[in-house]
Amino acid sequence: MKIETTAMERFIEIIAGDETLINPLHNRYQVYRDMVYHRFYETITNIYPILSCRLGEQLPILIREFQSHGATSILMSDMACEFGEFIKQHPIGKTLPYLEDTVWLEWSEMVLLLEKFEENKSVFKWEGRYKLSSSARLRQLSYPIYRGDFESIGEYPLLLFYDFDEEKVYFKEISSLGYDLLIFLENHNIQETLKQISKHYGVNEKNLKEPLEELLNQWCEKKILIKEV
Amino acid sequence: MRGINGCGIGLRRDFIEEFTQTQERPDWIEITPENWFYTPHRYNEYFEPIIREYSVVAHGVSLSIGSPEPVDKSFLKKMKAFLDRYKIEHYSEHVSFSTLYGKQTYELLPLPMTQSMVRHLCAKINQVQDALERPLILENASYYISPYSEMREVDFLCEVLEQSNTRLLLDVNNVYVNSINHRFDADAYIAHIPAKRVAYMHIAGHCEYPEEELLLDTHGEEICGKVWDLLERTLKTHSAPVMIERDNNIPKLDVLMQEFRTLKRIVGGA
Repeated sequence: MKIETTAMERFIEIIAGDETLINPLHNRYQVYRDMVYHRFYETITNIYPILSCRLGEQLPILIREFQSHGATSILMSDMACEFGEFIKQHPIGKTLPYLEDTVWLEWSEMVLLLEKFEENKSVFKWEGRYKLSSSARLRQLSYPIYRGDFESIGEYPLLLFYDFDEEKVYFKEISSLGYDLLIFLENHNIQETLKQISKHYGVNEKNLKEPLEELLNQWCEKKILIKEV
Repeated sequence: MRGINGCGIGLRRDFIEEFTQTQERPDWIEITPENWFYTPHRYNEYFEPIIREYSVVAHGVSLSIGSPEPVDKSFLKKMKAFLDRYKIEHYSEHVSFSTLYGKQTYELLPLPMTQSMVRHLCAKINQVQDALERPLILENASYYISPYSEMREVDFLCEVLEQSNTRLLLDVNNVYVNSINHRFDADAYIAHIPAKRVAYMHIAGHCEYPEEELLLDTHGEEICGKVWDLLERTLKTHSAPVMIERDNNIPKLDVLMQEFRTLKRIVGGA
């Protein structure tokens, strides 16, 4: 297999690399080079439409760079995750700092569309522990990219969730209070969370309970928040 | 092949909803398992009943049987779990490679056609069959260049089938495309393949690149007259189930079913 392995190594080197081909218009290596590139391009642009649009003419260059860097995931959908990580580490992030948020948003949407979840619906009560469902994702973004704004740096808490009735992924911009509430719930039961939030915002627990209950009911209703058993 | 007879089509997400409502039914279906490992929820409600109702062949694209390195065990485990879950007995893959030392291309790349490669493939076929606990069916792939070869494609293929005692997914379109691109006689190629080795057949579309004098196996166009003619001649000597494989530029199901009717007419008249 020595000759065969060498031939295969050379073949991959030619089609995945950037060496100049002789007479590229009539070179069948170019056909393979184009086909491989197209596989990457198609998957990446399907999964990251916003990212692809923002990268514009840089996209083909970055895809080729990623190709020669080497994707290792067997499944193409997982390759897109690798591409996202590649972009996050890439120096281009210094000139386009919103790229990390964009990768997070688009990849999370993809994961929520594909993952299998238990459809647990909880009725909210002021007792026990609640946690963010696996069908939801939470992140504080640095840019409100979901509004098409790639300029205004700040703190933009975003909740992404799978809607089981409509079978779609939705995002919801939430308040800092809502964000802190979900963060506190990660490590505290609901009563402790109420205390922490009350202390953090300097608001009386009684006055907080009503607006929080409304929010918590909505989240439980949408299966964003589930009761831990 | 148990449960696989007559004419089939490749099930695609693009028309899965229409598929559950159509009156005209194929005799069996083929799926690409890798595309269903993670199924979006909205497709699951259609996929699960279809897969349990029809006879199914799983046609993989990621095995990379010709790579020098061993087949990824975690991939085989995942594939076996999928096949077991849906009780799919038949699994086919391409005689090609797509990865080298873990670096993926996601494309079916041509293998050096040599005796040494035949032995290598046979050893790997055994590993795959042992891991999946099912026979592996091999497909003749299209290729535009051969990295290194000392055998004709058809001889290489027949050697692999004989030595590994496996059966062939004969892709008639691939034979046609390769015969034009590499200037051989497609009928002679098919005549060389023992009929008993053919498990089932693919028929598909391709596109022409006249400026490069090249046919590209795109699975994105209608099946052309010459490929239908080749299938008709093939069926006279090789009797096996046939299916339409459409992977790109996928039309509405009723458009695809027009081609399916042509297929049924040809198979019925054979």
